Parts: sequence; structure tokens; C-alpha cells
Amino acid sequence: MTATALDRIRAISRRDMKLKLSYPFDLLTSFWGIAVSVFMFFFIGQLVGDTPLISEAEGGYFAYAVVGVTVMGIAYATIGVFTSTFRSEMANGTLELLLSSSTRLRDILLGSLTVPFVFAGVQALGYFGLGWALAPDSLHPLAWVRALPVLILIVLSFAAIGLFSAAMVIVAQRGDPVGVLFAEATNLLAGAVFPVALMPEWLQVVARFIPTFYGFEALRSLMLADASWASVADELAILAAFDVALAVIGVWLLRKALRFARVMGTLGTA
Amino acid sequence: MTDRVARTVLEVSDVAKTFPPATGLLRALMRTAGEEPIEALRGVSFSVGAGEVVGLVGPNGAGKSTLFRLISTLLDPTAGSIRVEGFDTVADSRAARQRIGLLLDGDGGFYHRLTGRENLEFFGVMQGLSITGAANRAAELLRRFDLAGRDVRVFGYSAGMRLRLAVARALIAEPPLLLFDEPTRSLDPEMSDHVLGMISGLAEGGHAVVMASHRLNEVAQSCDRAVLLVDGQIHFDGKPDDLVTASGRLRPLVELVEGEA
Repeated sequence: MTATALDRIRAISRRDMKLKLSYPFDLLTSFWGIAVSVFMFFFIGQLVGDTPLISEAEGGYFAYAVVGVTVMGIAYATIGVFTSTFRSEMANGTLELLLSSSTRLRDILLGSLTVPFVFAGVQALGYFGLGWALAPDSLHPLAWVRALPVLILIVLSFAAIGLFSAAMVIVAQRGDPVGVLFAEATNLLAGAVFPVALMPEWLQVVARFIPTFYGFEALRSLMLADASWASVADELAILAAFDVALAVIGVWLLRKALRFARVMGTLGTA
Repeated sequence: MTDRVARTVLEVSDVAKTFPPATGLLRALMRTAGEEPIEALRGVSFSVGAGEVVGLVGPNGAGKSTLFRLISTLLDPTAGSIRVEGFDTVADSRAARQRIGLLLDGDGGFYHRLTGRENLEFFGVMQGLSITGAANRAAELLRRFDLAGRDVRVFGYSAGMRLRLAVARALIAEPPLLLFDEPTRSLDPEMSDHVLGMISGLAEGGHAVVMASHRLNEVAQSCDRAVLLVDGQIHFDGKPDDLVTASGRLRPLVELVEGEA
């Protein structure tokens, strides 16, 4: 019997899970980082109190920030997935073996997503669980369940940017400026931990070119202000359009990058 | 030894590879970018039959690794074609890859925090075996290469064990073509002899083997044919003993190779 695409994806996921669990200290430090971040925003929330931009009726600043840092935690994990996959395969000396195996690039990429997504989900639960413990009135667990489709759309946009990053790593044989630029721009401009309305008008225009801006708008409306799905339909449509466009360009770029590397001889040398 | 050569497994026809220089934005982006085109291979042609061991000999920079990367589809040729059991490495690259077992960089290329068995099972599935099929094949190969008794993480393996594991991995899907890039580089003479014997045994089992080396003596010991590659061109393709004793225009090239061994 020969391997199906699903067998190959499962094998990659199983490998990644074993490798991830072989570094238990990394998991502990990542949860320590989550705790520090949540407590920091809890105290900033106490300091800020009720503001005209974020009312207590919408959960106050702490709930606003918990949503932002949770999504950004997922962003950093997702954007870096393909880059870290390529870089760790290069470091292990296994990239050439994988690319010269009969497994399609598509299956390698899909397989590489699984475990980071699972751990990003666990991290998100960590952020939100701690946030809920500190502010049970404004962060209800069912709100996350309701917002899951929006989160999935956000994650897909990050994964598509991850394809850009991986293409960059393959071509440039060095660190990944694309992913870092995008993640930091999202953190600063898209409304992760402060409302976009605080920024100068021209930066507010720039924010509208970042897909996560629409994700944050929809997520907070659904989770913290109990808005209806119809009221966030525009944001979701724009976010979905970004996802499709970025994924198509990302896959195309990655294929181009691999073709380029096969001509230039840079595959596996970074 | 050449009596057992039956059908052609690998056919390299007039292959050239030139690495172009990076220009413009790419040049600024790339960590390593040449300023001039590098002509790595020119008009390289040879073939390897089932059951044959061909030693690819040449000094450093001769183009041996480039040729291996071309055959294993990691590079595209600038001109010419390479076929593995009739499948073109560019047009039918997936079918060609299914038929190749690769050993690059001696004993490297493992997930060191996984066990030998886990590594073999993983690469088995990547090379097209079902999950159960890969597990059975891994168990069989671990026994065959005397690795079954100590299934620990690969970072606990000795150099010899890692090399045997690498050979086992190359064999995992029973490919007709095996490419071994300097398999004895990091081994002591005794272990080298063992590995060379193992390679001869693989050819007797019907595999076509191409082994890159810059040790003429081991090519003479274990290969049916030697192909001498210098500056990207083939200068000799024949019996290894004839290369070892070559005189005339070949002698300086042979001494160049021997000087690096």
C-alpha cells in the first residue's frame, strides 16, 4: 500500500508533536510569557479605567487587550510556521531529503501547520483562561466559541503571510523580514492593544490595508459587545477576500521561490 | 561484476549546469550571491545500470555534489536531461524522486530528538509507504543494519550507527537508484571497509548505485566503473583499475584527486 496525502500529513504532524514535546521547558516558558502579558494588561486596565474609546459596557480596556494579545499570540505562531519549518529542516540537514522525497510541497506545508496551530490554540486558551479568571464578567468563555469562525479567518490570513515569509527565507537564505514587518505592523496599527481611532488619520487609512484590522473589529463586536453576525458581515467579507488573495499570491510566490532556488542552487544552503 | 548489469536505471545526457549571478534586488536580498555565472557542469553524459556500482571521482569543486543534486531534482539542469527509469527529473520529477534513495553529507540529515525507528518510519511515509508499511519496513531495516537492539534518540548514535541508519533510510522504499555522496567521509578505515562491502551487497541485490568519493582506492575496491569528473567535465569513464594506473594526460588529474584523499 502507498501513502495517501493524509498519511503524509499525519506523519509530519506526529513528528512535529514528538519534537515539540521533547522540549518541555519551551512550553513552560511560553506559558510564563502568557501570564506576564495578561497580568501586565490587567494592571494597565486598572490604570486606564473607563475611557470614551472603550467603555466598561464593552468589557473595558483589559478585555479589549486580552482579545488583542490572544490574536497576536496566534499571529506570531502562525506567521512563523513555514519559516521555522524551512529553517529547522535546513539546520537538521533534512530539507533536501524532504524536497527530494515523493511528498508534494502542498502536503509538507499542510502537515507543518497542524502542531503549531494546536499549540497556538492552547496558548490562546491560556491567554483567555487567565483573562477570564481575572475579569469573569467581561470575558465569557462562550464568547470565544461564538467568535471561532472569525478567528479561523484571521489565522488563515496569518498563514498566507507565512507563505510570503517562507518564500523570502528560501530566496534570501536569511531571516524573515516579511513576517516580522507584517506582525509588528499588525501589532502597532491594526488595533491589537489600543483603538485605531487614537492614531493620526493617515495611519488609520494604513490600518485598513491590514487584514487583521477587520478581524479585530468583528471579533470584539461579537465577543465583547454581543453584536449580531449581520452587523459584522462587511468586515468578514473583506477579511475573507484578503485571505483568498493572500493565499493565492503566497502559494505562487513560494513555488517561484523554490523554482528560483532550483536554478540558483540555494536550496538547503541557508 | 558488470555481468549483473541488466537495464539502464540512470541516464544522464549532455547535462550542463550554470549558476547564474543574482542581479538587482535579489542580489541585495541574498546572503550568498555570485557576481559572475558559475559553470559547474558541462556536457556530462553517463548511464548506470541495475546492479552496477559507479564511483564518481573528482577533487573538491569538480561538480560531484551538483550532479547529485541535479539527479535528485534539487537543482534544474541548464541544458541536457536526466532520466531515472525513464522518468525525466524536471518533467516527471515526482516519479523520478520516488525511484531514488539519497544519502547526502555522510551521516547527517536526521531529527536528532527522534529515535532511529521514528526517523525511518517518518521518511518511509514521505517516500510513499503507508504508515503500516513504513513501520514494517523500518523494523526490517533496523534488524538488517544491526540497529534494532538500541532504539534510542539519534543524538545518542555513534557516527557508524548514523551512517547505517542513513543507508537504511535511503533503502526504505526500495528505490532502484541509490545516490551516496561521500558515504565514508567521517569513518575510520575499518568502518569504511564495512560500508563499502554493504554498498557492493546492495548492487548485488539489484540496486543501481552511484557513489561520490575522492578516494580512488575505495572506488577501485568497491565499484564496477569509475567516472572521473574534473572542472565539471567527465575525463574518464571506465574500469577503476585503469584509472588508478592511468598515465599521460589523465595522470595529473588522478594525482589531483589522490592529493586530496
